[in-house]
Amino acid sequence: MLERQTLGPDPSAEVDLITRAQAGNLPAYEELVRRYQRRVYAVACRIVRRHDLAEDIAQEAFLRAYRALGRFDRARPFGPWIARIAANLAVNEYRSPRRREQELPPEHAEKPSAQAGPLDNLLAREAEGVLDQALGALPQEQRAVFVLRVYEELSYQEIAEALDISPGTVMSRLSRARERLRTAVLPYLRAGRAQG
Amino acid sequence: MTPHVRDHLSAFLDSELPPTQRHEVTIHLEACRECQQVLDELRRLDDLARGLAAPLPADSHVWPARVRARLAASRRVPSRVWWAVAALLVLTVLPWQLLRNRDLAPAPEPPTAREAEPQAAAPAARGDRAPGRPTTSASNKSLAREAPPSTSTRSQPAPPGGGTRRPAEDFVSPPAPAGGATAYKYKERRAPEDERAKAGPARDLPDSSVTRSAPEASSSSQAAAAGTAPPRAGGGSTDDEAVFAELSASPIRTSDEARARRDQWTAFRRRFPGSSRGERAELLGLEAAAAAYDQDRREDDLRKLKALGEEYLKRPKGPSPEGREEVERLLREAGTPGGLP
Repeated sequence: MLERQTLGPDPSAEVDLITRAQAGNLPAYEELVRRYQRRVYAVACRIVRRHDLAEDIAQEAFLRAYRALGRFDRARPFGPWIARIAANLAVNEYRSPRRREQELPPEHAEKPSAQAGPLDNLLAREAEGVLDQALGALPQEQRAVFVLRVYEELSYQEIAEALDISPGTVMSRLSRARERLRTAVLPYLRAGRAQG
Repeated sequence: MTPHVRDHLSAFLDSELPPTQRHEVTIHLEACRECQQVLDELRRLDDLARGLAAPLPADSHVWPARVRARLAASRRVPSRVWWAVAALLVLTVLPWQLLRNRDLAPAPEPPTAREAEPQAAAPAARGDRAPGRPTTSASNKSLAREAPPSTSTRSQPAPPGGGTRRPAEDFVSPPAPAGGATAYKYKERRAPEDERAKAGPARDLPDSSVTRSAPEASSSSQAAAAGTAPPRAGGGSTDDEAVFAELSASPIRTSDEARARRDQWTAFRRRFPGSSRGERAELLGLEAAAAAYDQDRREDDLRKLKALGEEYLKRPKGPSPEGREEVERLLREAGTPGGLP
């Protein structure tokens, strides 16, 4: 992911930050928040598809992570861990009956990347728009699995742990999610292949 | 040519199929252009999705300071408030309660130590709870799921690494190191019996990050589902929400726990017949039933799984399309032909 590459935290510096944060150093933790806030927000927003909720969830994820930081294994990367916490909160948020999902308004939808996609620019933009809509139409549980696999690159076992479901359920939800999305953007995928 | 392998292509793409199935899919793909095309499209789909730019928060520059301020506040305020409340209780309520008891006593006989104890303990027990940290609406519900109602009032933030372990923290604790003890085995999806034998031992279910001991979690969940847990103020949907949260958050590590959970979800539905979480509870019960059968392959587990599946498919409000699909898959994998009654 682009964000991962650009953030690309220096592992030794990160371990140092975590060590200091574990000792109660809030400025060190603030720096960790700064490094990972975009990634955490993106995970939450891709799942709940509401900016206000995603902000709440992202900040709550950082608060929870801090409280659990004492037992965090510094040999492990911080990013996937905090992303999993955010994903779990996002799914819980959706499960709550008090929240009714309100889709992101079109002007707030994810903007197509400026980078060249697998298709020609015009076609790619259109395809990305269709895909974004299809993502929004996915059942939340399928979307969460798709986000954690495709954007966070977690294994099925890790996704299962993050969402408190079995690996078999991860497998079936992901398969169904991909099939729906593939169907939605099929003409673009085939057009892209014909051009490629 | 072997049958199409469309259902397995997603897991094949992720290299998540067990070796035997992976081999079968590979062989099929060599001969089937149609499945090759679908696999290629799935790959392109992932690429296309990764091309979508990440959504950006509007005022992210203030987040770090905001998080820090909330953490600092949560570390500072509780001790002050708490000591004040405790002191107030000791200085006012306790003497008042003792005096009142003495005045109201029918006989001038002084209470024994044992009689006085509960009266003295009650305010202290209430005071043992730290005041709740103000949270966002988003976090309230998440907390409810992660922490059982009986302990949620103790979810006061503490400096990392210090203080008592809390359920809310347990859920987000890092995964156990590889090789950690897990009692529950999970059957590989759709692998026939003989292939599973060839493929070696079954995969372990995640040793869930919840480190609460299984019997403790199980017994409290049982009480919650059966309605023996202390009632909560407000009752109704709050109870339903809290019990659902508690059951959802408790880990399943063994087939016995899976059976217990299956029955707990049934008890939940009986206790809350009008719950909006009814269908989800049914599905979770079915998942637990399937997990129990997966592990021990007991006939009685299979019968219960089928009965629950049939009950779900005939539910008065009708199953949701996704639920139907999930139940049919569970029944199919358990060897129930067609999955439908």
